[in-house]
Amino acid sequence: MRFFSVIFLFLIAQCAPLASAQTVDPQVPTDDSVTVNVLRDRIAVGEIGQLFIKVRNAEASMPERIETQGLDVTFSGQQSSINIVNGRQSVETTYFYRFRGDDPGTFTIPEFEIRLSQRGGESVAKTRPIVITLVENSDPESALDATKPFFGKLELTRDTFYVNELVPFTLTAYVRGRNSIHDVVTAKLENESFIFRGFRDVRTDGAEVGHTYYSSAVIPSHLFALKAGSHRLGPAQIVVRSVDSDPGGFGLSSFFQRTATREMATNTLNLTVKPLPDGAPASFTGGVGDFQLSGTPSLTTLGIGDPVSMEFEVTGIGNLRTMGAPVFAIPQTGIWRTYEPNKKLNDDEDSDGFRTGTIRFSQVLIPEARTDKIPEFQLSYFDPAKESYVTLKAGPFPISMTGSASPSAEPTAPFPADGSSALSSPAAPAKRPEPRFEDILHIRTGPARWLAAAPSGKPGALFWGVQIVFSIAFSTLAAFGVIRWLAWRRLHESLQPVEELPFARQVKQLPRPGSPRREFLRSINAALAAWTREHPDAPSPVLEAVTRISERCDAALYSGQSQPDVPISASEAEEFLSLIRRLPVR
Amino acid sequence: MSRIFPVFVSLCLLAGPLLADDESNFSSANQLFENGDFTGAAKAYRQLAESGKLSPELFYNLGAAQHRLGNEGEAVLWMRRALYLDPGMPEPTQSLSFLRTHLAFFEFAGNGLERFLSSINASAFLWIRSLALWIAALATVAAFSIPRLKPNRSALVTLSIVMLMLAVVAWRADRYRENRLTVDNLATVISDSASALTAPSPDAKEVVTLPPGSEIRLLQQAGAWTYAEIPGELRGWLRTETVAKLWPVHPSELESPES
Repeated sequence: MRFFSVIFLFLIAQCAPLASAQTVDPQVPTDDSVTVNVLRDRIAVGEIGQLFIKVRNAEASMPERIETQGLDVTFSGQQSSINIVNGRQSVETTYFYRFRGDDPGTFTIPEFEIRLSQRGGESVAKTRPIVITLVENSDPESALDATKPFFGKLELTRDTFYVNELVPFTLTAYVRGRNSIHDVVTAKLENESFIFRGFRDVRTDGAEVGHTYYSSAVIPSHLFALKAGSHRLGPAQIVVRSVDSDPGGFGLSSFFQRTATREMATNTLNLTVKPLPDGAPASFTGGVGDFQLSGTPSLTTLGIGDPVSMEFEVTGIGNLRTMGAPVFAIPQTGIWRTYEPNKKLNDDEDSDGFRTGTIRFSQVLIPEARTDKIPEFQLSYFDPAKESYVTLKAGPFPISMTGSASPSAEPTAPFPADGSSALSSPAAPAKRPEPRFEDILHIRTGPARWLAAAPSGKPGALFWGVQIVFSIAFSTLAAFGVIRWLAWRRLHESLQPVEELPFARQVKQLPRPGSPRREFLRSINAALAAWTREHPDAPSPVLEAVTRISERCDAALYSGQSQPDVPISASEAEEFLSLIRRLPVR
Repeated sequence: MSRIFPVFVSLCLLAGPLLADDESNFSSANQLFENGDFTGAAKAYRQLAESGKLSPELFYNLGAAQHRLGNEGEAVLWMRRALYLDPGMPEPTQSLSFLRTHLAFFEFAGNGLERFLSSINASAFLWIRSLALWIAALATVAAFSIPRLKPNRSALVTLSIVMLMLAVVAWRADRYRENRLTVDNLATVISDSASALTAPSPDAKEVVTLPPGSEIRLLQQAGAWTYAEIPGELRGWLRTETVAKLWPVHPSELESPES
């Protein structure tokens, strides 16, 4: 291996003066021991260029990066070779740098100092500035350059399209020779204004470019733009592993096939992205392309509060990945509660701009009120071919609420067709049809009621009449009750015991002669009881006399003889009164 | 008395032809509707309403004509006015059920109980309350005043308590109806594209989109903007021309669109 490297470096050393003759400005002074060259000083944007720094008979410490405005220059390796000419030995070390830029223009790799270590001591050498021109290659056809051993190409089907419109594009890697491409390592295209997808399938082929045969690897992909405006797309970077075409040792083909990694940049493209026109329908969910819509409910018989899943399938060519689910044509607040729809899109079912893709949406709905259908759903998208919005519809879907029968779906037959009695049939009982509100009722064609005033909510004469009737009834009953209560109270008071009164007061209240005899005797009895209570220590002859008088009264009152309550005679009354007056009073 | 009677007879003789004229105009408007001339029918109904006539049938038919013309908000408004005049009228009740499903408008009477309460005449609660109180009072007095009813005294007292509870329920329902379901300051969204905004400015953020026929309660009017309560504990500002008060009927609403 080392032998091949030495040969290779030797060949490069022989070719370097030729390259230097083409690119090095002879007016620029250089140090004898240090030479700086590039393979090509005019490269395309994104293309990788090579910078060589050769140092003779010295060891140098080289920087990892050379700071250059507009270019990224990085150290990539070094090789040394020993030459003996006329008995004199010289050592030459070549340092490799690779550089690339993203914007077109002219840039200068500045001069810089290199510290050299030689036998005689240390010295400092200075490189010369190198001018590099980056050109923009926006024509895919001009990317086909037969002077290069490998190159890449970026192609789009059109350069003007709409935001969110799916546009196919291809990246193609070309490597000189038949079957030169072993495989594609990576393919990369970046731009913050675009979304890129694909880069999965690689198709190898071959083509003749400028009478030279090249192997090619085609990578079909697709993109869609996020922002309207003018954009520069590319260059893309493609890394392939190619079959090394260098012959084996001594001019013979190598027995084993060797591969080498080739990194190449494609051309750029200038694109115009148009914004979507105004006036998008309310059901527009971001779809751009050409689609078809179908939908089915998971259930057709359900009750209030039962979830039902609406399954939608959208097929077509377009940005399936970024579009939203269909929506109700009319808001269903209070009738249907909706949940966030789920989206399912398999990578192998995605549209690539050529093939038809399929995306599935699933949305859970819950009825909150009684209804006979799931209303119509709509999905609007922008059709770039027609340059207008298109609205797709799904539904309405008739449903039956639990416990009811849809008249159209299950017509009830109150009487069998064969004339047999429905009551004797063992079949299930007929269900009562549910009312269906599908339109307002017709106008009232009969005579109108003309009102003098709007209802005020205040009671009328009838109300007050009823109040009066109730008041009279209540007053009558209440008065009757009060009268009865007063009578009862009077009777109760009349039955109050008089024994509690003192003897002197009872004597004063004694009925007069001529009053009812029983009442007179009861008063005499009570007076005597009061006297006995007030004179507990009276002489026994007096107490015996009082007892006799009281027994006489009791005999008259409680003898059981039903005598009428005749007036007491004056003589009998005077007899009792005289006895009472003779009682000693304390 | 001898003077009043001739005057009464004269008024009756004058009112008879006037009512017959209104009935004739109403029948003519109905005929226009039957012939499919909804614009002409709506105009004729409006003229009758403009003359101050109050009739649930007239208001309902005007709502039906507005529905046929595609003015859904106006249709709901006039049907609600028909129900205000006759809460038990079946046609506007059933047609509003359809429009409720079709338009999904907002309503304060959101559940069945509230719809039942709002469909009952306001004086009905007063009647229930009054009768319940009187029955309770009479049962109590009779139980203690009439000796013959003494064996049934406990039953009568129980009846009194039940009637008192019924009176309380009727009073509470009436209060709820007055506070939540009264037609005072109640309005209907008549525009097909009305939105409640956070401020009285076209640049303000949207609170909610109000479908035509939605009920709102007017809280404050500031020029071209109206601050309103929206069912669902919401509030927002609406353009005044997008709503119409349920009652009383504003004279400007009675002007036909052609005029």
